[in-house]
Amino acid sequence: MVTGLRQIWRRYHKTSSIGPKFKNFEEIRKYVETPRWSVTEFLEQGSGVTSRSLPSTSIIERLLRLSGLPVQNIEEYREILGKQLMFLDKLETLDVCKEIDPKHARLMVRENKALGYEELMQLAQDQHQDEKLGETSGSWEGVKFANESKQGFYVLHEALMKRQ
Amino acid sequence: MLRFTRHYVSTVGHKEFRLLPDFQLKCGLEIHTQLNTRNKLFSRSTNDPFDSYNAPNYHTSFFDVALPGTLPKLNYEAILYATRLAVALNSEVSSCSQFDRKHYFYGDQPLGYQITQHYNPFSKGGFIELTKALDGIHQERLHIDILQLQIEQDTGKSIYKETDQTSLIDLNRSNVPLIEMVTLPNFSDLKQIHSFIKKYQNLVRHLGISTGDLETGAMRVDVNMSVNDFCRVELKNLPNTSSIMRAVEFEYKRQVDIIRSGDAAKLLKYSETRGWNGSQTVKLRSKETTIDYRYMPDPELPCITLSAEAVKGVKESLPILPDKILHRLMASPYDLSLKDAKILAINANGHDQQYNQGELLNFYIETFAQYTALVGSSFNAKLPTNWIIHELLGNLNKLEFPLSSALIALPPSNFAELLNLIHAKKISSASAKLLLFHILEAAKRSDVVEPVNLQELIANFELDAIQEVDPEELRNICLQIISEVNSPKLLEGIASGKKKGPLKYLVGQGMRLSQGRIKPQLFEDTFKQLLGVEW
Repeated sequence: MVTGLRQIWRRYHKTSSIGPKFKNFEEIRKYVETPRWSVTEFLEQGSGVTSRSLPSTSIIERLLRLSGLPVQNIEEYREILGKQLMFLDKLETLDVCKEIDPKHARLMVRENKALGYEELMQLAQDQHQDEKLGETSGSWEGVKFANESKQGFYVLHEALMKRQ
Repeated sequence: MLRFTRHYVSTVGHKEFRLLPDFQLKCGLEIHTQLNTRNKLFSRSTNDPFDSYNAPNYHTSFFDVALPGTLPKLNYEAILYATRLAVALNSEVSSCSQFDRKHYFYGDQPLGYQITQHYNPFSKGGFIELTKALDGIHQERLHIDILQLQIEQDTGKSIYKETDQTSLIDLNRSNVPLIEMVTLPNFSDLKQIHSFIKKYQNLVRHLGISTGDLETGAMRVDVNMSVNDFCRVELKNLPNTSSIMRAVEFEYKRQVDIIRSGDAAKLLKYSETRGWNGSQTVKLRSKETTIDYRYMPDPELPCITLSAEAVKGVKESLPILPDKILHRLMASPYDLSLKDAKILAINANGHDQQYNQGELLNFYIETFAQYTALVGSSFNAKLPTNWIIHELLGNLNKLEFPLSSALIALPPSNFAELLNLIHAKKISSASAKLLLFHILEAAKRSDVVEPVNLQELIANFELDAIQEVDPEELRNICLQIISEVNSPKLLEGIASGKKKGPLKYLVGQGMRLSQGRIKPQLFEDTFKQLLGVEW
């Protein structure tokens, strides 16, 4: 990933140089706070969003349906999604380290120690309910946070239920 | 389409179903099984999905209802259960499997995605073997190959209210652990499907990882089927074995008719999902493609990394598997019939029975061992079978008294002693039946805290068999019984052999009068002598 970022930097700035040594914390702070490049400009460089690269109306409609969202503001979504796709295209041009395991695409510790039998049994045994997480049955009433509820159930109107 | 519909409705359930030689059925199964862990898959809220009727949304944590900012927390008890199943199915547990998000929008899916395993499932491969001898399939043996097992979370439940066009959502079931087991399309007839479902259901119960009930939805079977390799159809919403079978029959006939009519290229071109409404399959939706689900690795959950040592440890901790138990029970010294062996090895749903399979099997094995130790090589293998499987279980069901409670009064050692007394003819079979019922009834009435003293009971009730029967006394009893029969014609019928049955009635009267202490054969011989029986 570091290699990739370095290349973004190089590609955008064409040249790079090592500046003078920082003398104090204030200089570092000032340096970090001063923008040297713009993400927006970076994205627009080379391949701007054009009407041809925007996702089609039918794709937007399909995605909205799959996500259970109202089918409206299509043009606005085309613009937004078009930019996101362009960003992904840019990412794909980067020279990332091929050795990175895709399974590491997570916030958790990447290299888990393999569990032994005793550890597995111990973890399976560990079943402490945390009231702070609402895990104790009846310790909180979720439906109270809902706009609409009935006899302890959340209420959903049919229009929202239908997968179209 | 209407043409087909009418035709099937009129035939299903009325004609015997037969597969046609020119139309090859190919089926695979996807079975979702709820794990009966104490708590849910990604939270520690209580796993009790059937509480919804009385207390909807009672067993829900912040994560289960997808409050923003909550994080999943993996429950390793589900991992342990999944490992048990994988090992029992000869499936290879991945040393590093991962959770992924499957996105789809539905009211009972509060996260907007289901956490499942798409890219690296929990285990791959494996099989279940079906045999003619144990499972009653037509082939000698058949391996049903398993593609993979994946762990995933269940959704909530929605109850549709037609009157106000709303759905009531209960999230007690949300985030309950499930295992999805997918087979290869190895099934080619209905018997195989039926046997497999029964076998798999018994296995999950035997391993103690699920109730395996279809009726409650703890186990849900989807069938993927095609005829003559046209596009597959997935059948869903099949609430019990009977529905599964009838839905496959219906769908087979529907597809055969489409092929015969020449419309297959059009009507069976695309995969679709169909439901079962009790009389026919109906289209639910076109099958989503994988890309529609927008799978992505769940960045908030760790990979599941199990060492080979952990898998080995789980394997060693498994109980003996049902097929092995059946083979063992059907061999010497038990020599049980398949039917009786299945009573000891196959788990029923347990809703209305007074025992679970494990405790009954242990009781049988232990009692058998103690009985054979008492009587030595002259043991009669049928005695423990009849007295445990038929007499004891029959009484427990009649009294609605659980085996676990009965064991306090009648542990294996006492039951073996009872069998020994019957074996040595120290107590007649009739007396033993009375005694057994009395013991169980008394145990149910009062809280028995120790095993009964059989010898004492037999002496108190004078149930011991009369070893030396006075022939004169026996003759007098029989004469008294004959004198009470007001039908000379009946007695003549017995004598001539025209009506043999009533002799049993006379013997029964003798057994009643002697309280079962005199052997029935002695009564029968005396009656025959007195009536001048010629046969």
